[in-house]
Amino acid sequence: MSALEILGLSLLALFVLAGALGTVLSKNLVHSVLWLALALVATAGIYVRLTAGFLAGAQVLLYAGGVITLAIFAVMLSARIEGGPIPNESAKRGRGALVALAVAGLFGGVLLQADVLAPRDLPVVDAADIGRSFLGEYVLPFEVLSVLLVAAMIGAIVIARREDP
Amino acid sequence: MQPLLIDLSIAALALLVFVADLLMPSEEKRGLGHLASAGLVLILLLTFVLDMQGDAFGGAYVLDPLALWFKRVFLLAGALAALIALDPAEQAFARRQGEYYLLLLLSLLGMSILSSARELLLIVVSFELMSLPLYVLTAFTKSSKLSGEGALKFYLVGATSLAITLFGLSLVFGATGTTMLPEIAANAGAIRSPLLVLGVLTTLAGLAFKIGAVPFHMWVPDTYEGAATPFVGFLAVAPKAAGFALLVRLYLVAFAPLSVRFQPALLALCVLTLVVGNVLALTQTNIKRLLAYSGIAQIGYMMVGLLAQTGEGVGMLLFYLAAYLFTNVGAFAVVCAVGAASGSDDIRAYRGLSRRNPALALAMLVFLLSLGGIPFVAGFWAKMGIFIAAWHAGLHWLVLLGAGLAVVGVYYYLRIARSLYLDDPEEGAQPITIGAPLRLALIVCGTAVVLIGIWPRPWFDTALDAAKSFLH
Repeated sequence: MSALEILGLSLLALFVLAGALGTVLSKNLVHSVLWLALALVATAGIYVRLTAGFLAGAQVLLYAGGVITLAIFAVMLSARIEGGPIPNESAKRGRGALVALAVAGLFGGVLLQADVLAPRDLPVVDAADIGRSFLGEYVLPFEVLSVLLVAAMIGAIVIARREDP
Repeated sequence: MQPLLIDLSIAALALLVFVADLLMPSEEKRGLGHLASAGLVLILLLTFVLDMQGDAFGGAYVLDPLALWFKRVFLLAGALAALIALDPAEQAFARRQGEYYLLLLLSLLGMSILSSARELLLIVVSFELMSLPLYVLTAFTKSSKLSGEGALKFYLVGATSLAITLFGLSLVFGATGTTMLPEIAANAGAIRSPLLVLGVLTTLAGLAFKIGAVPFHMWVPDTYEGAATPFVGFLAVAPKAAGFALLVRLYLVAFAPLSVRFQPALLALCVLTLVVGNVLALTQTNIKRLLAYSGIAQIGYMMVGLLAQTGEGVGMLLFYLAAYLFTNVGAFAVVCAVGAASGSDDIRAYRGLSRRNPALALAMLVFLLSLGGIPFVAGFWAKMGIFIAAWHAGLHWLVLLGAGLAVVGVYYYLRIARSLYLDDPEEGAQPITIGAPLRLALIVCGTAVVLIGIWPRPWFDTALDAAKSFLH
């Protein structure tokens, strides 16, 4: 791996970390959502580095595009209903930090031991390959996924619909 | 397509309910419950008539005796749940009955596929197909604040545990390079990567959330208390059984070569679950919370069967699940009847139940005895079988601990049983009448509990047979 590549990857990792911390620590809910967007887009950058172009595109479209937009809508609508900004204070920060550090230490330690940091030749997987495997070896989970979506849709309607008269 | 026939039938039944819901006039939606219940019984009978065993999709899906046992448990739990819900559903959400039964069937479909899945993606997707309708069904009683609270806790814990499970499984995939369980089992022994161990342990934490093992249990009592009682009987049995189907397939087959690594974690979970479940049940004054904690303790006993890591242990686990199904669904059916009549789930509502409805009190007595593991009802043989299997596997101190805690369990179950017969009813308590569907469900559960208790032989044999073909 060249020095430039390492620099680029470190920068992306830094963005993901900053975005995640900002999401948790920000006191303004809208800011939290925007920090989350940063973390999600930076993750897409890491996917590009891992030669998973389609996954990166999907990440930007679905998460940065869809999920963040929905989250902002939800925040704004609930702020209107509540009549003011919604408090976003994290409780028990000390304990949270402790758990986060412990988990990071555990995973970091294992990753260092596992010798996965050496760069390898990664296969390039494009959308056509993914599509083929959906309709080939993974056709059953793909079909079950469509039933799952139906269940989610019906569930959303049940929860959102007005109380019975 | 032959092995998929059961799951396809459940999907077809769900579609049938969906279409019938659209066509039926809104005053006659009750028929949907009859349709769902009868359909599930029909599919259950089908599993005894046709021989459909085999695999499909290159081994990703399998119908072996183990999957068949679990599918029968799910179908029975679903049919009983639909039956018990008939009357309460008509009163509480008359217009939304169609969605209720549809979601129940879709969740059942997820469980049924899960019990056959031997591929990680299919496992994840079917697990979610099971869980998602459960969140919605918990929130179904919109007039109750507790229902929303219970559902939200359930959902947040469920979503978090899914993330943890997915993370663990992705590490497993990263280390082994395959999503097929048989291939993982073949490779796992040779892979020395610590990533695999981390993945296996992380997955275990995620699944422990799902089955409600201590210390990942805090959502269980709130969810049980908030959800509508007819649904809790189902929630307490079927998803837990599905969780164990997955645990058996993952930890006793796919990850079996790593058992030295995860055995201590599983053992710690099991001991904590047994102790905390039984001790916290002692102080409960709400019957649903009490049954929730007792359910946590029962999960602990089932984990003892898993820990034995032998064919006998799995067989006894299967037997336990069957006994637990009839006992728990039956107990919650009684809670449903008493709750509807007295408007309260407090233990005090059970005082002198024998004078308000002798048959109901007798049924509750049978279920409580079975939960406590008193001879000769189903629960006794279930606990006995688990303990014997664990003893053979060399887990002597765990058996002694479990037996000691079972005595604690007997105390809090018999406390209620005593007050059913010896205490006077609260002032102004009326006799309780129950509808025909609930009565039928109670008769089925009660008869099964007594029958298994008197004549457990054929059940033991079938359970051991289902497990034997599975573990070598």
